[in-house]
Amino acid sequence: MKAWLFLGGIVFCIFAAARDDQASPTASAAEIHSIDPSFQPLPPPPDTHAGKVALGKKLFFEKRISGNGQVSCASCHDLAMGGAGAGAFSMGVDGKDNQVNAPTVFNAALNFRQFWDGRAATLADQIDGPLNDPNEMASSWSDAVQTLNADPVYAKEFFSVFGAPASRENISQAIVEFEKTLLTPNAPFDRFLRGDVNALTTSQKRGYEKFRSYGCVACHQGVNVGGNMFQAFGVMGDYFKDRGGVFKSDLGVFKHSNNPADRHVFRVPSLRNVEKTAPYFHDGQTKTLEDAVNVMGKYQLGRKLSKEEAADIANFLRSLTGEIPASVKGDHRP
Amino acid sequence: MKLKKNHLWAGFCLVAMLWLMLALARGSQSYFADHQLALNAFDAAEKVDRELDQGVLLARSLLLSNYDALAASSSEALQMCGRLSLIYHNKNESEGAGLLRPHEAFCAAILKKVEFVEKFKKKNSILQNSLKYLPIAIERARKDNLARSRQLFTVLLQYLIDPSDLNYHSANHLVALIAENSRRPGAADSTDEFLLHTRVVLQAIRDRHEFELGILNTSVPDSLREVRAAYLKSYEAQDHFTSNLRLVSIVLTVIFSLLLVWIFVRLETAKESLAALNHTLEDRVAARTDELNCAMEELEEKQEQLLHASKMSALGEMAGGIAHEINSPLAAISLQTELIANSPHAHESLLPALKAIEGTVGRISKIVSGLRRLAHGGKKNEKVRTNVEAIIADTLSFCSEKLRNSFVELRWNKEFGYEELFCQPEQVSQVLLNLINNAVDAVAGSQEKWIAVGAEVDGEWVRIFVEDSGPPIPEAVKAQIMKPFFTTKAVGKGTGLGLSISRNIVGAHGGKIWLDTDCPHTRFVVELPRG
Repeated sequence: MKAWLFLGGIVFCIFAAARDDQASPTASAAEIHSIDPSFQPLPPPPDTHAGKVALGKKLFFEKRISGNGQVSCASCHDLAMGGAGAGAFSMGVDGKDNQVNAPTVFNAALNFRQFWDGRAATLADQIDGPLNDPNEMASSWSDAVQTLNADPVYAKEFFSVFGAPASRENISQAIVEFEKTLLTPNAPFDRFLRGDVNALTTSQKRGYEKFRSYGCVACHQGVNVGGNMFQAFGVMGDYFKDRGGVFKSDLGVFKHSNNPADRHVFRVPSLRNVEKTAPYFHDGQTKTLEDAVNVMGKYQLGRKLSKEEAADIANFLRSLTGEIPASVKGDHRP
Repeated sequence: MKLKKNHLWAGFCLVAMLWLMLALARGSQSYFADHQLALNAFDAAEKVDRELDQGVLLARSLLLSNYDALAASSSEALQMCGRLSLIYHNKNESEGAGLLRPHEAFCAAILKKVEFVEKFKKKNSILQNSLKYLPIAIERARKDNLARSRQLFTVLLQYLIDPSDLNYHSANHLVALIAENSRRPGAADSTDEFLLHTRVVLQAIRDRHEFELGILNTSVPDSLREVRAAYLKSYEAQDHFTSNLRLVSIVLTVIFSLLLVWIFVRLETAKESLAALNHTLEDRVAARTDELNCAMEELEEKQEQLLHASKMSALGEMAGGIAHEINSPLAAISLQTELIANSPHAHESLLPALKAIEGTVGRISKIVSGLRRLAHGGKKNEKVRTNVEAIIADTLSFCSEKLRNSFVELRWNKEFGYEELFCQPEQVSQVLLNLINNAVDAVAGSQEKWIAVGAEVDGEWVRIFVEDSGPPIPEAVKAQIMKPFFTTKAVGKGTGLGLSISRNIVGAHGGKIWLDTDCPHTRFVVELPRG
């Protein structure tokens, strides 16, 4: 049985490879439109508790829960800036560098792990990280809880939503509930997946084909176009040697697993809204989307991409930019 | 005091029962709910493990289009350990200890498996990607390397199917040959690219195989089975304990409820007996009050009788005096009348008048002697033998004048007149006189006025009756006529004692007096023993 599946897999693989190779840049719309189950359109936002969402949103912008009262979640996950920071590294309390590029909070609920190194299994666990990190919010749960409960407005809101004073659990719950609403629907690519052949430009369609045939799809796939697996950064070359310099965050999963095989292994990031989240990669050292595509092509796929190919793929990635979710429309960094 | 104690007991029983039932209900409810949760968690763990296997198998055959489902399963699997440990927290420590070791083994196994799955995904993607590219890279390779490159690809595919060291080594050998060849001048870049991908594929196949073996060798199903067995064992122990507890609770509940019922029954009987006591007490008070009232009446009657008796005795003395005073002149009148009658000078025409005077004197002396008898009667208290007729005659001597004056016809039935009585004749006369006087008053307003007097004999009894033609006595009055001070006569005319005294007199003789309700007329009967 296993052997048959094996054989079948190989045959399929070969045929798939052969077909991909024949696919020319001028493939017909019908061919392009052949549904690739590697991708799924963004699902509608889940049912959420309005009270918790409102409270979570308020907490997301709340600076007083940080150690010096000047950093909120939104300070690094700027909703107006694609849900991530504008700089290479996000800046924590007193301007401390965090040595890692802030991942976007948009569609984060669809990622199978949180953080670049995937050390948090859930959004709720993720909150512990920045809150307690001395380089980020430099606070603690007890301080945050105390601060919130000392504020009569918050005390009242927590009572009306949870029937209890603020606690580690319900603060997390509220913020997570808010984050669940941060899906960015109706990206051109989503419309394309739903059957709107004209949602992508010709260049984007070419980029889509390359994305699939060159193997980007092997890791950036699924509903979030990424975010569902780990991968080593530098499969086909040593990115870190070529880049130079040493960053703590370069270690990736190794930081918490201590397994040498996990060195430079990261959670594959989602490519949704990637257009808005420059600079790129965990080290924030790549400024443009085209450069990022080239880095990936070289170190992950072991292929040199022509300028046109990189541009097409980058254009395709721009089709992944969705709409700002209704819950934060018009909100800016406070 | 006793009742209060009972109430306390009842309250205690009730509270204890409610508490027991509540504890039982809540305990068993949460207990069974926990058990169901535990079973569900085990099932979920098994399902996740199966999903991981299926996902890996599909991915390995390059049939999986994306990792979303597998990623979801691996996230789920990561939370399985925590979810199961929640179940053990609900158990007490000693049982938890038995579960702890297999649980930890399970957690380690599932974490290991998830780790292997993630590594597998990683390598599988690379492999998939490079495998796709290899045929293209071969075509781009240098002509002199083309045959070897194709051979290498075949070996790679063989290695993919059979990841044996032999295949690995022969592939590596070919890689070394191609690399050697391509180092010669004029080698194309694409050969390097081909070799790079080949090396990556080789390593990926090797690693992937290792991770597959790792996944296969994790003891998730075994450890899950062990954890489940340990849990079920502890559950059964707990279940045994719980069912015992439940039995004890049920028995206690039954005992308490029986006790409660008993207490209520006791309370109820106590209440009833109290009510009964109250009731009899009321009755007794009423009876005693009646008795007291009777005694008071009797006393008053006795006083009145005493007064009456003293009046009578005073009257008797006076009557005696008067009789004495009258008798002497009467004797003189009688003597003088006799002298005149016997006188030779007496005119013949005077004789009838003299006779009349003598008769009248006789009557006066009769009345006087009757008066004296009556006056002395109360005092003497001596019973004598006499007959009915004498008594009636004696009585009538006092009232025949009154009867005549009231135009009342007297019907004297003299049958049984000879019957003898042993009695105080004056007193019996007084009774009859009373009855006759009442009868005279009763017939006063009637058209037909008569009074019948007579006697009957019934065995050892003589019944003297007084009957009149007056209107019947009203029902309301009948019941009260014998009571002292009861009278229907005008104020000052009667004392209300007549019948009462009569009853006492008759009673003292061992007889009875009653109103004969069978008779169409008003008929009083005085029953006295025969002499």
